[in-house]
Amino acid sequence: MNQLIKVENLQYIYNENMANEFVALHDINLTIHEGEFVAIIGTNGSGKSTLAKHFNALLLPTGGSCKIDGIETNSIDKLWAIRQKVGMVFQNPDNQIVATLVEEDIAFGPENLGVPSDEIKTRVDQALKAVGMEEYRKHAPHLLSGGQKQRVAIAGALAMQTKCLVLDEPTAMLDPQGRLEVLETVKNLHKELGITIVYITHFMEEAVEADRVVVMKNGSVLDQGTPRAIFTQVKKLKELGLDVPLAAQVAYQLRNAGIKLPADIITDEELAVALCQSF
Amino acid sequence: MSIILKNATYTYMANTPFERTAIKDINLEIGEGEFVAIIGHTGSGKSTLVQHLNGLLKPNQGMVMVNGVDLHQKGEAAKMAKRSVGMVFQYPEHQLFEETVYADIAFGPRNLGVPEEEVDKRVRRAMEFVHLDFAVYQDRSPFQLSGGQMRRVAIAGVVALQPQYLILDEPAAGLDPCGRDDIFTKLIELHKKTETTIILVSHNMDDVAKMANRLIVMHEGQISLDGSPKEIFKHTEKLKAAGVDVPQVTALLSRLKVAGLDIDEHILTVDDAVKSIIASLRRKKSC
Repeated sequence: MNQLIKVENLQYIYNENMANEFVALHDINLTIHEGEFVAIIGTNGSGKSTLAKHFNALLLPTGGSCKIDGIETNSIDKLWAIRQKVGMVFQNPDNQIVATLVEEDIAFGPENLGVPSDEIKTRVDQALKAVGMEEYRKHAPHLLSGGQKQRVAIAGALAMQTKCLVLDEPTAMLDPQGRLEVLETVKNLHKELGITIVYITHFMEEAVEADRVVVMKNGSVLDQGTPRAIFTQVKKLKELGLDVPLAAQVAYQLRNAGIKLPADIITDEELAVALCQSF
Repeated sequence: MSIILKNATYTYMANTPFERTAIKDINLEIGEGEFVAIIGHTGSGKSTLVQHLNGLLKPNQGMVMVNGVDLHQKGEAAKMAKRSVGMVFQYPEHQLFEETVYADIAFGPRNLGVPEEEVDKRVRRAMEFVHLDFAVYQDRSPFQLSGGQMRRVAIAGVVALQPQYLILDEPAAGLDPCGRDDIFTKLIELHKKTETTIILVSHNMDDVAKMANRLIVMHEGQISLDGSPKEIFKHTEKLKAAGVDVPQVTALLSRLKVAGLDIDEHILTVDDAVKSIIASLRRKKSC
């Protein structure tokens, strides 16, 4: 499979050669394939956002390399090609909306690229449909709910025909309903349109939905694997200051109390089934 | 000593086509030393409500009293009453502006005319409260910290004001699980030690259920439920109508109950849930 993002020995230092120099990333090696859904978890300050900002050249490596679809991010003349391939969605929806109507906001990116207007219309229609916001095209974005705003932001990236979406804690400020909307939208884009997803989150029940979970600590990749492989290491994750899904936590404590349960439980459903079989 | 809202109604952009009543005829008393959580989905009026508690918004109708003083009267008394209520907004990190973490946290107390020696003490205490190592962070620029660290600096800035009532609007959003537990543990500690009244706005049931001794559920600008967490979570239907999730623990236990386990689903902590499951399995085996 095509290696969409390839990071080799990546290092990033804030304020290099200054008194307040700070190494945010050291020696990261990570490959993300086209069509993958990768979740990145780690404590605050572990380097998740710094790493994500390398994926569309908002930050350039101070050491090592970051390639997007084979292009080095520090080739300045390829900057726009890179940003079209990788779209970013941030935590605060209010910081990324520029226009006064939903459809204009989504059209902003392609308009700036000089895409012909018929083509823009098609792209906006498709993007709105993909995030389930067709009815809101004439609405003012600032009057939408948080979840809807995030879906507009995602649609904006889709209108750029992006191959990959990098979402940096897109649900942190949302209520349960909004979180569900955004997660469902992302899952759908991954499944239906084959868009590569890089999803940074502190909600472990969201990370469970990914194909692969990457665990970061102090600017390095500490571990990676399937959600099941990662989240069954309850003790290790807790020591790292991270959570596991509730069912994994409860199963772990039940096993410690001597109840015989399989070691790989991570969902409520699995726990219910296992407990039913144990009596 | 308490905060009282009497028949408070607030309408945004009144007399325009965008007119929207955010809170309607709210009557509420929050007593000294309480730990209250206000929950509700986006647009339910929780943020509007709390902005009345320190006089940031003035109700179109009704009144707000803090420690017996009407917040919107003129004079020194109202000013002092407002000062007794500290507020940590959503995204408090957007309010950081100083060159160093120290200066940012010291800004509030300095403005109140607190002597420099006392300011220093408060800054240290506030940084300890949010778990930021004084030696490491005091001279760092607040703008080069991670999102979670910036959040902590911003919270420390309000804690340094030592308000009698401390309001926090979604303080844990964007913090990692450890940071979340940390802030909450510290809040509980602050509440116990200093008897600071804590008013927490959140849509995360799991967080608030464990801590608060009183929950207020907002729905369409009105209070739909008000009581202890255990009491509130029995009203599943009303919670659903208000768009609020029951805590994950409660959801998991309900699922297990459906699967045939005989357990009390109105449990709020993981440890209690585990105990309850084990007890239920034992009962099953013995019969």
